[in-house]
Amino acid sequence: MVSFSRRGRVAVGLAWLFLLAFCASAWAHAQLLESAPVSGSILRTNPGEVSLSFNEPVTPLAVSLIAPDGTATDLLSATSGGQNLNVTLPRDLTQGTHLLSWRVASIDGHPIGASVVFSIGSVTQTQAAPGGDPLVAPLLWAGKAALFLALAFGIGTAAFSRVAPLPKRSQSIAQAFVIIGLSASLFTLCLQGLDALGRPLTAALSPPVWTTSMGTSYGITACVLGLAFLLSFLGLRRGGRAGAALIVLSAILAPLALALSGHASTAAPQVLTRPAVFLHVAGILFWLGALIPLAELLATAGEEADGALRRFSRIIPFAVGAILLSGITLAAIQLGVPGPTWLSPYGAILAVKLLLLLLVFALALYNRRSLTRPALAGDANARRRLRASILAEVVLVSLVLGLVAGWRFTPPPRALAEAAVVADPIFAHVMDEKVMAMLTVTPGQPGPVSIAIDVMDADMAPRSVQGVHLALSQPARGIQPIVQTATGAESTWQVNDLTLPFGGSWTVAVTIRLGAFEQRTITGSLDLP
Amino acid sequence: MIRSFARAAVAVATLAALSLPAFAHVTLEVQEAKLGSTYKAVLRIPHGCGTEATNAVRVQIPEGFFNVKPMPKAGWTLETVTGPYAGSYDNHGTTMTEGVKEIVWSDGNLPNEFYDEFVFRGTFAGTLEPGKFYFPTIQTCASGEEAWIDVTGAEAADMPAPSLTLVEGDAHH
Repeated sequence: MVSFSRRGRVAVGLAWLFLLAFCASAWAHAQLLESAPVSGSILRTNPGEVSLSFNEPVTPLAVSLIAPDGTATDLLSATSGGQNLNVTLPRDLTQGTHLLSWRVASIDGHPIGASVVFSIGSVTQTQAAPGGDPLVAPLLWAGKAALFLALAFGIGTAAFSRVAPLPKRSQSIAQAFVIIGLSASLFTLCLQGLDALGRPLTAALSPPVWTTSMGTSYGITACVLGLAFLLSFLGLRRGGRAGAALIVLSAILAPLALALSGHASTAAPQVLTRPAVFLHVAGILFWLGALIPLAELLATAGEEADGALRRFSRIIPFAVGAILLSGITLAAIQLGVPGPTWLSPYGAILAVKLLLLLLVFALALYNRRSLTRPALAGDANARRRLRASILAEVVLVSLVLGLVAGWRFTPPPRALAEAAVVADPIFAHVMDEKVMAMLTVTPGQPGPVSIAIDVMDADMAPRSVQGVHLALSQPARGIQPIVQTATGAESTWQVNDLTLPFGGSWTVAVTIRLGAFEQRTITGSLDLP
Repeated sequence: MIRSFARAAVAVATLAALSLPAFAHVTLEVQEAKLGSTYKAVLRIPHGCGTEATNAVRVQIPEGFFNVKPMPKAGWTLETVTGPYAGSYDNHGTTMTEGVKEIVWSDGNLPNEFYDEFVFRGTFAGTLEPGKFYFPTIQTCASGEEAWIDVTGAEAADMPAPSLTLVEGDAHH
């Protein structure tokens, strides 16, 4: 039997490796740091390309350009990936407002997307772009919630069989949840693909949806979770030592799977976050897995129930300790420094979760300090109350799990903060018939800014020049030019330590020294929020 | 009444103060010339680069001002850069297709406190358009330059190129 379980483990290990290899095209959770041109800019000519900078490498999933007349052009093949995506635009863009819609997958498997709106010449009304199916997001939430419940009450309950033999009904409940989990793994994998591509539910069976989903890191997570549910199912069916080995393996694989993707696992430092996620999930599985069997055991008086309760009481402080420690670590990393980002949806979910957990812990403490001893001593009343309290815990933690599934849709404050730091540079494009300059004002707000100036000739090719200086003024408010000489060489110039005291429309005059005796002054405007 | 006079006085004083820097620009002594005529350009250099002495003066000769001859200057090395003209010009029966494109007086020393003039002559082609004609000029100092090359004609230009106005000449030359 021992040799069987070892062989089994080897087989499962190999299967897992195979799955890992299959899912190897996994990539990173990203936030868009900046785009050029910035969304909302009005350009005089076709910018030639749109570049999107992320905080980590991304894989483009869908990129399309919607022209002012509403026609969409697929630009996925014109997009080069990495941490900075460059989307080469068609050469013959019409005047008016264009919308570049993009969707990318990040290392933690979450697809993110947004649009960059830019206008050539003037702003026009653009026909709305077809979006994804509105049902996909709620279904994905439901799928994730089902998955979490199945982990706790399926794999968790199955694992409790290592503490005490599972009573009959708990055994059936565990089996039912394991089957739910198995289907939820597949279901969420499919929805992940639909969500990533922005496709409707009717496209659920199309191969690109599945390959896309497998291409995100959630692909591995879903594979490993599916495997864990399968092992628990077989373990529960088989019973005995072989079954026990399968269940133990399953209980190790499940937290491992969650540590492979998600917001928390991909936060830096990963040496800390991945083990923290593993411990957090493992602790939760043990704790929550015990609730249903304990409640059932307490319904009947007997040696078996007492033994189970006694052993659970001995182990649970360690599990709760692990949950708390890893939870605090992860929350600290995800929330980052206190600030307005704490009030984001992520922060709200965390706050409600903590509130519910406070209730759960209060119940658990009450159980432990006031009910466990009399219950073990045979006090029927205490046993009844302990059972009711445990069932209340089950309801509360189910709520928590449903809530946590909502995190799928909320970037954590640390990512928001990262995005806010360098968000929204302002772009301006000035040109005459011979030379043009692209100005990038970072950050795009009043106060100290730096301005990057890229000089191009009339054909948009970089133009080497001898010098550049800027004069920024607000004639309407009687503000005289703020003049600054740029430093740099060839076609790339930069003005640092410039302070633009007010928002509003700034007139920017760019003087470009083309040669010893030739200079051009091109004037444009810069709209600072 | 007194208040409005006071305001007017302040306005005039301010205007005068603001227009003062114009006297410190590099300028031409003679501000007008006829198309098709010979012109003696006297370039007036009123100051150095900030406080630094001027060591070289470079003047660009734009298309349409041909048969150019600079005047040598004691204490300065005179060089010219020649090249083909875009058009061809009739110099008393001789067709000129190339000539001086740039004049450089270098290795000199004109302290900021002093004033000097640099002279060259040439002929304005009769085919030029009447209006402003610029001679972009660069003063070079030990650690920088003053580039009088702004040919936009903007009133508020910081460093306009020295210019004159071309007017219609006599019908026959």
